[in-house]
Amino acid sequence: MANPSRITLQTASSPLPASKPHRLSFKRFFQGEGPETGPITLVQRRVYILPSKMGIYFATMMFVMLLGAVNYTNNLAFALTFLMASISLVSILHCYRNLLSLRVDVGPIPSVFCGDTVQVPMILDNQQHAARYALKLQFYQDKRQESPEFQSYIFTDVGADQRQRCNVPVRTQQRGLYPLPRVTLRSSFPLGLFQTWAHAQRDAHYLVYPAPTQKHDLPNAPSVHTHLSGDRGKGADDFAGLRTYHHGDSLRHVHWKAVAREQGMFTKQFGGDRSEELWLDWESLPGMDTETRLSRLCRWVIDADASQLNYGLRIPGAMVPLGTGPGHRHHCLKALALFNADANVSNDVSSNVSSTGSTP
Amino acid sequence: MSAFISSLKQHVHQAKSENLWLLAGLSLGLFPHFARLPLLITLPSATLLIWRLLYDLRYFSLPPQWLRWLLTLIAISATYTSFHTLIGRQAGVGLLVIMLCLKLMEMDKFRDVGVVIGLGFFVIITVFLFDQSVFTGIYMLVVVSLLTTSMSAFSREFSTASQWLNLRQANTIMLQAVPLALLLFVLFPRLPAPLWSLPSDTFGAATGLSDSMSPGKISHLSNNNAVAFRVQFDSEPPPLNKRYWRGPVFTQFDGKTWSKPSTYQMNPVDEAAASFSYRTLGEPVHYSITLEPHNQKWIFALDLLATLPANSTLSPEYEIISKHTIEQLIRYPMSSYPDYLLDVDTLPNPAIYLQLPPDSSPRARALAKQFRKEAKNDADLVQIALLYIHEEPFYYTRQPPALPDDPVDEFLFDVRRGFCEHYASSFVFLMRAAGIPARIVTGYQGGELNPQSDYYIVRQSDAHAWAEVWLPQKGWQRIDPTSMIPAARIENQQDLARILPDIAQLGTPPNWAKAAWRQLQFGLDRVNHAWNQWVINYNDDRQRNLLNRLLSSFGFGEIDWQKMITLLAAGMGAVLLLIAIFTLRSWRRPQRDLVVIAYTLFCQQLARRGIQRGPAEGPVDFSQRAQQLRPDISPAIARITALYLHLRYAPQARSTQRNGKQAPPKQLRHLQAAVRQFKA
Amino acid sequence: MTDTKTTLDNLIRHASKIILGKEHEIRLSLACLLARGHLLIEDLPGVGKTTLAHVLAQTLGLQYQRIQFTSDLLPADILGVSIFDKSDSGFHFHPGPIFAQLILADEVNRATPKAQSALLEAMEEGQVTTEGETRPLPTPFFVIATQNPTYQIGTFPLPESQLDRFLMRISLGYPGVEAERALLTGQDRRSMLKTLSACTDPAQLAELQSAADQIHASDALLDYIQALLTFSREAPQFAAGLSPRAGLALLHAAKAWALLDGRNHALPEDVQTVLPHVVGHRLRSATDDLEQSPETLTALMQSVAIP
Repeated sequence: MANPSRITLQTASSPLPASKPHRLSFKRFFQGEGPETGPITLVQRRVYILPSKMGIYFATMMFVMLLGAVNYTNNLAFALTFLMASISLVSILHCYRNLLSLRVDVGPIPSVFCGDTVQVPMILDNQQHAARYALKLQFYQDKRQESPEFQSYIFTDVGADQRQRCNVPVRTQQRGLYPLPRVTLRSSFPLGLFQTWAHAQRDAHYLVYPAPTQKHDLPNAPSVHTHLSGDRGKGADDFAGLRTYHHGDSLRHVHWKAVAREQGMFTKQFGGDRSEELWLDWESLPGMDTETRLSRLCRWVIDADASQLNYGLRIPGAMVPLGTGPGHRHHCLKALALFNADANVSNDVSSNVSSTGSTP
Repeated sequence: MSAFISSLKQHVHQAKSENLWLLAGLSLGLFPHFARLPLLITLPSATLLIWRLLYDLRYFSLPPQWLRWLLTLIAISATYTSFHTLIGRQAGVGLLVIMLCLKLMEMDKFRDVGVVIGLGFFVIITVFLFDQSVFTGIYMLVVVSLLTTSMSAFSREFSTASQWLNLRQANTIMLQAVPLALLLFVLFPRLPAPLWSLPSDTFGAATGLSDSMSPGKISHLSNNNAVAFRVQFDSEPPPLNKRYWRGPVFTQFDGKTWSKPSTYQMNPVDEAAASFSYRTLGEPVHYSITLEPHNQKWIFALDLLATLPANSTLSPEYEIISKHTIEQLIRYPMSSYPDYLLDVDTLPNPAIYLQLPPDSSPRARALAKQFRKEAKNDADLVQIALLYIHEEPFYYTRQPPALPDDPVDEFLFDVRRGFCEHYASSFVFLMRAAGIPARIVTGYQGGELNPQSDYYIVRQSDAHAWAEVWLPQKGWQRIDPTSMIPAARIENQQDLARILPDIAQLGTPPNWAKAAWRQLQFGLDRVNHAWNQWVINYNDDRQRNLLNRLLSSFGFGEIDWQKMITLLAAGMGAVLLLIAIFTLRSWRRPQRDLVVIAYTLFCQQLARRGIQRGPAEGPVDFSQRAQQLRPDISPAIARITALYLHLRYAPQARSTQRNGKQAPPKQLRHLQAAVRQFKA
Repeated sequence: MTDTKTTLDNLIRHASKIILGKEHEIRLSLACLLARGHLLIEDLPGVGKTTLAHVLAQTLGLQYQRIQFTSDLLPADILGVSIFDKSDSGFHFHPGPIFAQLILADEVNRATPKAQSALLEAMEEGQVTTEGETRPLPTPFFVIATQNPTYQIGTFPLPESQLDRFLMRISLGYPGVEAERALLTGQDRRSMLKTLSACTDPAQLAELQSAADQIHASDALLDYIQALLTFSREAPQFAAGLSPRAGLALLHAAKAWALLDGRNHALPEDVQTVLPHVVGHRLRSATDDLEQSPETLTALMQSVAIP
């Protein structure tokens, strides 16, 4: 059973470095721990709890009730006040439990076009035999970017012993690759008197493609290029075989000789169907600013993919060879998303500087 | 009808269920107030409550903003019209109720909901200002449960789980909170006096005995079964003819009303002590009285009292007068001598007890003169007068005709129908007219033993008036003229039982339903008595006594408030810790496979020796690693692993689940035995 | 159980005589065959891919055909073609090299996608449809495809959908020091092949395959496989999770491995042994759409607890 080539599993005796800072830190209180690898278990030191506004109001209320009870020496008033206070105290535990030991993970994040909302799939794994209710999930987002019509949070329940997948929205403002912001889980269950929360940030990234422009025709003269790997059969003269004629087959490809011999209709098949090669080129869009160019290219990539063309992309600093299919589309859009005009410019500048520096 | 019910069901389904919980809680919580407050407040409040309910059921819309302001104004003026003030207990509660109902009209934001729920709890506390009975306590517990459920529902507004879960959640929390609340109730230090003075109408109207007596005025005696006080005898209770609970004593008569002299001055007990002159005979009886609040200063005791309760004084007429109005239930221990001689030697101020309004009741005066002629001495005269009542056609009734002009003459010669007040009043008049010092004593007589317990219940219907006459060499003698009426002339069976219990018992036919009903009443009263003793009357004294008694065995010393706070903090901490362990411990799904349970035990054994199995480490790999690290127990590890692998992964004919119907496979027993014997 | 074990051990021993120091790889390829799957060997030229295929065919007593994939290979070259016969004025089908029990598809990534797909469709369906006629392929039918690492010039990497058709992907790697020395000093491997006698026949092989199907997979094991699948679908490091077909492949491979080990039931360790080979070519990284590194696969295994 012990095979040398099998991936040997490390034993889990020391999964964590022993000296982890456990002291209370304000940064952690407000911002969490920073990006982490692997699923995040909301252990005790990560889960915080404080009275909510309603909790403070209730505390005031109970104080007034206690004063009344003392003054009227009314024992049932005492009893009610004490019962309410005890209910509040017990609700702290229930509120805290609602988040404790929950495992938070993030699933594969779909890439979106700029302006769309990323639905980040969060996975809440409840390994406890007790359900969690009314968890509010919200990604940290710049307050200035908030808009009233955008609902930035979702509520979800997680049943006992269940994994719950839920999509938490993130707004996109600019193309690029972004680290996933921290997600904050909040809950004021069961009584609303306390609010418990925890921050979790996975080391995942999400990609925002540029926003495509409005419908725009593809560059109408597709340039034909030969490429190193381009010896896929072009032309219609690589005979590949025969098959029975189907309605709709081009009559030009019918094996007429066989027809003449009254052997039936056969269609000649040829290797390497001709396909149009389309290069989407940065240089073909002069006189536009960077983002508009990228948006136009983005539109072209979408359209070229939709019409199943064989296309490639050339932008300064990156080239995606010809190809088709969803993977190829993603590569092209990703290249556009990650295009860094500043980097290219600064390269030029730095070379200038070095050349001037070397003249004397 | 069924169509209506189904449409209603649909409306209920559409409604925000958290609002329904809240409205249910509020309606129940407000109900006791609705029964108490004037209609001018109850009616609009109930309307608003129903309006809100119909809105939540999607039948109605809420009133517009301007109408709400108008309604608020109307509410305030309605309160003012009803009470002529906006402060004080009654008016305050009225205002609270109507404003709370108005708030329902604009409860749409989460904040408003919080305010309403908070006010809902406040309403409960105001109900307790009026009524602290067991029933109210339990009733309000239901209200608390409903309000807590609504809080739970609001905290999961966006959750999809069932609404009954909210009820369960709320009640779980309440149940866990009960021990904490009990601790707080017992240990939270109580103050002996209020923090500041309370509004004058805090404790409602006076009940029970009044400070004057006008026999002709009241044309009927209410049969009020409310409890006046309860008595627990520590020793043998005195017989019925000695169980007279002394209350206010009246000496002054103006022809219609008996009262205390206008110059009546309360003497502080120590100064007055000199003027008391009494001799006790026989053994004292010890008992304690739990007195219901009656908003007057009288404290009742058996004649003749031997001790004085705290914060009270004794008047020259042997009335006990509290320093404070009895606004709360109080409990006091007492001792009395049923047999005694009072003021035997001299009577101070005999003129007071001979006072009569001039020229009143000529016929009665004439009768007194006639008695005096017939009598050999004062004692004989008293007997003649009593015989007169016994032999002449006097009747006992609770609904006597009014005696507007001369209550004494009209009663003695015309009407001859009345109750204790009439008899006592006329009798004392006759005595005074005959020159014997006499006075009227009011209070309670008798009391009923709760057969399910060992205490007596004295009710308002036991209120009584009797006479005291002063005889030379005998002092003050209690004379109860009412008891001279023969049984045939008592109208009411119940009164007969009270006045002449010996005769009554012979005559009443057994009635099991009535008996059962009485048993039930006694049972309820017993609960009430315990409630009064331990809940309502749990004050600073009782707290100190209880804690001292509880803690003396631990050498805790005399309790003080610091110790109480320490104890409270420690107790609360301990209870909270228990609940926390119960709540926060990891609730894993219970493992039902006995094979896994056994193997987990085995892994735990090894883990204790530092050989930890990784979560993704296969059992074979783990076994090999463990055998390398511990060659000494290698065979045991190999055997257990082999058994485990066979049971868990090889085809099995029988289930290894816990509580399975079939017997588990043989190897399971081997595995369990091997794990039990395994020592890492 | 014991004879199958001896048969299999015998097979492995024979094969190991020729391919030195690669017993684990031989076992894996055998497991792949027993699980009725196809094998993809990805390695540099000259490490013995062809020899391995040859040895397997020889020891198992299977008909063997080799197809060298080149950029000008056409589907007809693989499947066969109908040729007009003047004698009876009719078309006669001349079966291509694919009509054999064990095919070695050498350097499969050199051919155009068209030719690749012709092979892969045949692999999937176990039959060939040309010119309107369906012809069944012989049983057992087992394809060993070899592939040069994709970064070489002039290659058409197999698309993901077609990679999924291979049950396992293994690489042979350089031989160990001792094995290398034995290779250098010993006989020519090709000539040794000729001396190799068959240990089984196709009928026996079919029995072995059904024996592999009979291996018991307990609920606990199925739970484990499902946990692995779920994890791969939800973990952010993978572009897409494992398909149900991948799950079946994992189960079958684990069962075959258990059979090779002489057990009648599969263990989590079996799953863990075959996992990198079954799953490695099916998972792509979410960030760069490239294949997973072995480290990620280890992480996958370590993250999923054995229930």
